[in-house]
Amino acid sequence: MKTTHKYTGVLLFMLLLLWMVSCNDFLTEDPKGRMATQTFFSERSDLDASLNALYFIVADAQYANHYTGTNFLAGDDITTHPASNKQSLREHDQFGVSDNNAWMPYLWEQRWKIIKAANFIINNAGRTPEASDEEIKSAIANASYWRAFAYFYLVTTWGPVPVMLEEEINYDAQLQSVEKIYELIIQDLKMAEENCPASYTKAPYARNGMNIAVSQGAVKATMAYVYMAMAGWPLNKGTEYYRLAAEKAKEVIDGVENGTYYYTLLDEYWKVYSWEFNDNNPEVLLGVYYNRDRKSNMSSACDFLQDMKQGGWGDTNGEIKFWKEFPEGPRKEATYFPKIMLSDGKLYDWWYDTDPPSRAVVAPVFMKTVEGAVRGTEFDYSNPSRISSSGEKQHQVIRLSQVYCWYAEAIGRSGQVNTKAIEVLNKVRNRADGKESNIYHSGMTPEELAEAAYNEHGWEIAGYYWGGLASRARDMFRMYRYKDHFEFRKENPLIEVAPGVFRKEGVPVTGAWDDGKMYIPYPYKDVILNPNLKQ
Amino acid sequence: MNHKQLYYIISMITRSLNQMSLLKKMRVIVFFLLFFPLIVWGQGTTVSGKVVSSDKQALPGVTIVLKGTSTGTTSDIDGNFVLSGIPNDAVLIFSFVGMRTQEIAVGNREIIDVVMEEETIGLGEVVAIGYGTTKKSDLAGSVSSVSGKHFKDQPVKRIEDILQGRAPGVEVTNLSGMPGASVKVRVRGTTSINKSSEPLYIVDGIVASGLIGLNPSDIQSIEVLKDASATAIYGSRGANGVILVTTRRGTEGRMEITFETSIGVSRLMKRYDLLNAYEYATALNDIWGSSTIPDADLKAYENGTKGIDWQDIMTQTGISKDYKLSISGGNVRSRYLVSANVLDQDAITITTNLKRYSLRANIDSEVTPWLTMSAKLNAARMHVHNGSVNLMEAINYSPAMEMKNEETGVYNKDPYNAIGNNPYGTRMANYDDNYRYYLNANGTLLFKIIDGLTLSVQGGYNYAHNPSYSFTSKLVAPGAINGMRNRSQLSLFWQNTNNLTWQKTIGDHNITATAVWETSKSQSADLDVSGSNLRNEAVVGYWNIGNADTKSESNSYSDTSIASGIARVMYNFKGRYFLTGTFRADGSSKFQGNNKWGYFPSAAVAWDLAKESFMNNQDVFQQMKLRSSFGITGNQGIDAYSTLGMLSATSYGWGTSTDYVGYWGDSFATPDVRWEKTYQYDVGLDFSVLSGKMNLTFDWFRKQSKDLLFKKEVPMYNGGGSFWVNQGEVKNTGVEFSVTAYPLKSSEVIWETVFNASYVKNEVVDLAGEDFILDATYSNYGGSMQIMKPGYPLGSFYLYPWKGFDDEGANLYQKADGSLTTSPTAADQAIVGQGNPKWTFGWNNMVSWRNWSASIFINAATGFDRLNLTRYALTSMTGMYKFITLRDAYFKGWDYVENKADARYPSHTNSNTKYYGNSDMWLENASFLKLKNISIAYRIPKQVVKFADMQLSVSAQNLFTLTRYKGMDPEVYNAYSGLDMGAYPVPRTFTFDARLTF
Repeated sequence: MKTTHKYTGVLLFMLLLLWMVSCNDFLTEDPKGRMATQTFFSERSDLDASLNALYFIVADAQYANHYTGTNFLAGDDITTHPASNKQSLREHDQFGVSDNNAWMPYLWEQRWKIIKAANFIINNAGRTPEASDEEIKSAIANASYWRAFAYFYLVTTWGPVPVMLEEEINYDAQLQSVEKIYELIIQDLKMAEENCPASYTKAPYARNGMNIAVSQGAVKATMAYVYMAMAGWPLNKGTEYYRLAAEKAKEVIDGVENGTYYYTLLDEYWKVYSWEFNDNNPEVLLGVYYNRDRKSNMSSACDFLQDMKQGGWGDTNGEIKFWKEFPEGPRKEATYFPKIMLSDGKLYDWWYDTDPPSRAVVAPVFMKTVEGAVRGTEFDYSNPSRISSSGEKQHQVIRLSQVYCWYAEAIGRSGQVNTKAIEVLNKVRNRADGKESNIYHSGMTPEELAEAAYNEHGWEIAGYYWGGLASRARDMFRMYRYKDHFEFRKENPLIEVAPGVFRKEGVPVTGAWDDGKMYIPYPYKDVILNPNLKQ
Repeated sequence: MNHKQLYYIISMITRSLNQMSLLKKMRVIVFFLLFFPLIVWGQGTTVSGKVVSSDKQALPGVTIVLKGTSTGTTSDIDGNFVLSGIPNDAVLIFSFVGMRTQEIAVGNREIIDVVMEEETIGLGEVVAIGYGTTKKSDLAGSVSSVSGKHFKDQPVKRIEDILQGRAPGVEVTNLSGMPGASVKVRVRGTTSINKSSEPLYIVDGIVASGLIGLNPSDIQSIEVLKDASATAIYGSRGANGVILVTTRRGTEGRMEITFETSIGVSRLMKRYDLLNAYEYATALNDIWGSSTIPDADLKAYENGTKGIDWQDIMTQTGISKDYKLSISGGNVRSRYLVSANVLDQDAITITTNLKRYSLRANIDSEVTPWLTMSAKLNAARMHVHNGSVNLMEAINYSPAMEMKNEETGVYNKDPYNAIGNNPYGTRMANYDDNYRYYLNANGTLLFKIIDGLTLSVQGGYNYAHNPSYSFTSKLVAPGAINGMRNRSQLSLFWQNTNNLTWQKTIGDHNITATAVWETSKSQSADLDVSGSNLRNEAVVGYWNIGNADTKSESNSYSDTSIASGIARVMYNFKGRYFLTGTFRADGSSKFQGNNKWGYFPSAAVAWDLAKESFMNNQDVFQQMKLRSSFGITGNQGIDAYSTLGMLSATSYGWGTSTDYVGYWGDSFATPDVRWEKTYQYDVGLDFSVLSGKMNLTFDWFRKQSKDLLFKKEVPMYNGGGSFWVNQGEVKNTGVEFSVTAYPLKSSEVIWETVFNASYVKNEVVDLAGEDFILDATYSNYGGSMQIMKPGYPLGSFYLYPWKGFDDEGANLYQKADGSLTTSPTAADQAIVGQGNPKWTFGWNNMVSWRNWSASIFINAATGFDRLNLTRYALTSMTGMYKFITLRDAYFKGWDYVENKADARYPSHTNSNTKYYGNSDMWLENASFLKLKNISIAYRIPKQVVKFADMQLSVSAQNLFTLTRYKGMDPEVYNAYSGLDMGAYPVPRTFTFDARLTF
């Protein structure tokens, strides 16, 4: 009797346990609190969230020089340290980038991340219920802009690249021709032009009355520069495209003049990269914004030389010839350190060297990304305090003065000279000179106008590659001027930088030129995954 | 019947018993015991005697119980005992911790002297095999066992250290010498490429996430299940081997109290020879320009009024204090063990401290003849203060600099070399506290349903709460933003195991059949808040987020569950032929649809030749067992929801301090992913010779892991990252050998020696069709350091062959075509060396002589390399380090030496000097032999101490290391397979210990 009870009890107990755990439910995943692709874009707020992510990725892709700009060292405005830890930078400066360059894969990967985040919006945002057509289109327009922006970077750095428009993995992606990629870029930019508002009103897309997200003016300006690039190397589409470029630039200028756009030049050049106008710069058509509380950048310490009192990384410094030819005036004084403070706390001209000469880098020093030692203060080159390598100055993608230069150059290269072009170019130069010098006049030939505008643009953005759109190197690329610079650097003559003081570049350039040097190699990591990338 | 007749009968029976088989023997004994009381009838007598140990020392505290009753006593201080009213048919049970329990028939004797023998790994020993136990001699699979006596004289602070070098086939690597740091454990090699190759840990039958929080002195034994026959019972989680931990139980007898205290003193074993401040300043002026360090400072560095020795300032003598208390006892029906442990351990680097408090209660009780209950409860609290230190930064920081701005108190950054924050300032100005609270409850009801049939219902619940708090000061660097963070991670796990076991002997046939239904679920919830821009940082620390101007918060939840059905049959015939078959079906929530269920069978056969009749006439082999097994085990170690392709979250302020949360499609859904499977073959031999004085075990195995859970790389043009597929294959082949012997075993001296050796050959067979996959990529150090390629082992290094210098001191590398260049390209990298040892050895010796005992434990590993990226960073200007700090890099650098043939390091001024961390210039042979432990102990008997038995011991851990490795410690590494990037060395420790037994 007792044993029977025991069995019954045991069996009941077992059954109870089996019943407690019903298998199907038990083994089904319920990812509480997590977002899934299929169910996203089901509320209007999802549109905002997708743009938050896209702009985060854009900001991340430009936060440090190895993510956004080591390739721009090909320009004649900027160079680096001859030794130290600058191998990855130096290879670009020497036109000898290896497929194992340690930082180069980031340049590549970050652009593709932007494209991926943009594709996510372009391909899915359309299904968002509640949202108005306009809201959806504006979101897709923002994504299209950044996708075009990333492809423009890719096509001017690597040439042919795969075109990825879907969210699927493709190990066999083919390289597309430069022509094809530009087609896509223009198509995306047209979409953005049509659907990006001239002005945003609500945060975070607008702040302090300024556009933070991509606005119509920024798209038009970008189109102007893209057309110039198409007009130049390697497509060489010539006059027709310079006309298109001039048209787009003119639309921006007209918008500024008729009040559609609020953009205006700051009255003094030092304000352009100042802390004071960091968050309310009326000259900026498009910027990428940082704040050390959320997302900081790493641009503030890059340009200091290693033997300077304030500390710094010595990643990049000015090239001597470019400095030499840079017109004197407020613009030059705000572009380069007027004096540098060495570790003894004393101020020196940049060309100072010990006796016997021993400084590893004797070169002009850019002063655009610097920030005050105390957070939120203006930088002062005579202050010996050590600076923070973590920065939060915005990275300017397009400024109005650049659009002025592009307009003048495009007009000139399309064989024309007009008063508007002369007028806006003088605006740029007058501010640079700090006086109404009006050195440009309607008696210039189209060629002279174009070259003057080309040079003004170079000086406007000297040493500044953080925007990633139109650096000096990009200008030289579309004008096929790397080769001349390569030959000059090979020669490396002494340049008189002060009466009786001669200096030359520290980074040696050797070898023979070939057009392969216009581009950099595809990262090895992707080449082994997709042999189509083999060059 | 008189005594003489009885004695005759008994001797007849024992003699004939000797000739019988084990089964017959058992039947006869059962018969005899049943009827003996009828045959024999006698008066109660008084029995006395003396209990001594095998070395003839009196043994106090031995429990003596009259079998079948609760009558009993314990031996006194001199080992003497007296029991009265004992019937002469009685059987006395003598038991003592660490000694083999003996049953002695009283017979007509009035004086019974007993020699208690220490428990050894003998053939009769019972080992845990998962969901049951078996006699070691009946094992058909491959199981290593380590019991408490093997490490009792080594001050163990971490349970994995017990396994190091003591279990063949188990490779234990200290990844760091930091207190509380993790340990890498591999059973028979690395089986999975992308998923954890950590073994499964089971504590008293319940799955555990690791062994942290357990008190090493609570360990009764650790069994490591190695071959598929043994591990298949754990199915989907068994492929990496299973480590079964059995905690101690109370023993029958009077209450025994043991208290142990030990003090350890630790120091860094080896330093790098770095430039001192003056030399460094001179080198700076030489290489970067003489204006770099002003004259006044140069003088100060020269006369020593300025300058920092970073290795000195960052390290200290670490003191550890360890207290252990255990109380155990019980009667025939109920037994208990209560133990407590307090550990307070300082690291050998500044400010780091670990505290662990643990409390355990294990209770077993036979409630009714058909029901036994046991309950185990473990509670622990761990606290790590400042649990990290950046040694890489410390040894790369400039010696010629000023520590901080004396006016503001802000720590300076390195002006010349390292990019990161001041490592000393980080440790002094910032602080963090990491707490772990564990509660493990484990209860079993064991029903004896009918003879041989039992049902055990076990429930386990693990609670782990891990709050952590950190504070970063604005003093840590110029312009630093201060901040705080509070994080709370909660993990809950429950398991229910219902085990029906039937054990039966029919004639010569012995059968044990087990059926199990098991379910388990783990849940985790995470809450995380952080703030920056703190007001009044010195006052609020990490405890007032209200004072933070910028705040971030996040929380998350995840759970996974497994349901399993298990069956096992173990059969043996006459203890001569053995057969074991297991089958497990596992369903996991991590996989989707039909991929949820995986099936894992195994089978093993064994044959003990020594039991054959043709072996009867020899007395060399007591055992000569041939074993062979095959089985399939699995790996399901992916994270919850990882096949669903969820969106990734971002946080961006658009240039403000406001947080805007975003989502984007960063990962890919992979609904077709399923279990990874490992096919394992094992052939083994067990010998027991010289009357059990020497036991040898030999195993050969092959493990083939197929359908690997493989993280396939996504091209960067697709956004990069990776996704899960089931492709690829890895093969491990190896041999294991172990011998346990008593070279000396006399009444005076016992010397036990245990030696084991393991060899593993790992080979990648297939990589989802890819030719090779680059691994260990560090952009700041030159790119990929390792490669996976079919035909080569996992953890193979992939490096540029370095060939000295060119005429101007630039590094020369060999290109793939054999020519030399200063600028190699990616295709010039070559496969050379591996990061995991091929051979590991352990040799443990324990010698006792009278009251003295000594032990020496040696651990060695060979056939592997380390990529010494620490030395690379110290000598190269690269990535995060703009200058050099190693003395040789300057004084034996190309620029400095007069005779360029003496140069060991390149020119640091030449633009053509390319530094690659992934060059064989930094690959070093890391084979080592370490004296892991040496100890000597003296036991002062209770007669002398009066109140207790006392043992005093002194020991040293890691006293010396024989190696050619140039870094701090060849064993530790901190990235991928064998990359040393400032890895934290294991310190040398001297320990003084006193143990009292009341």
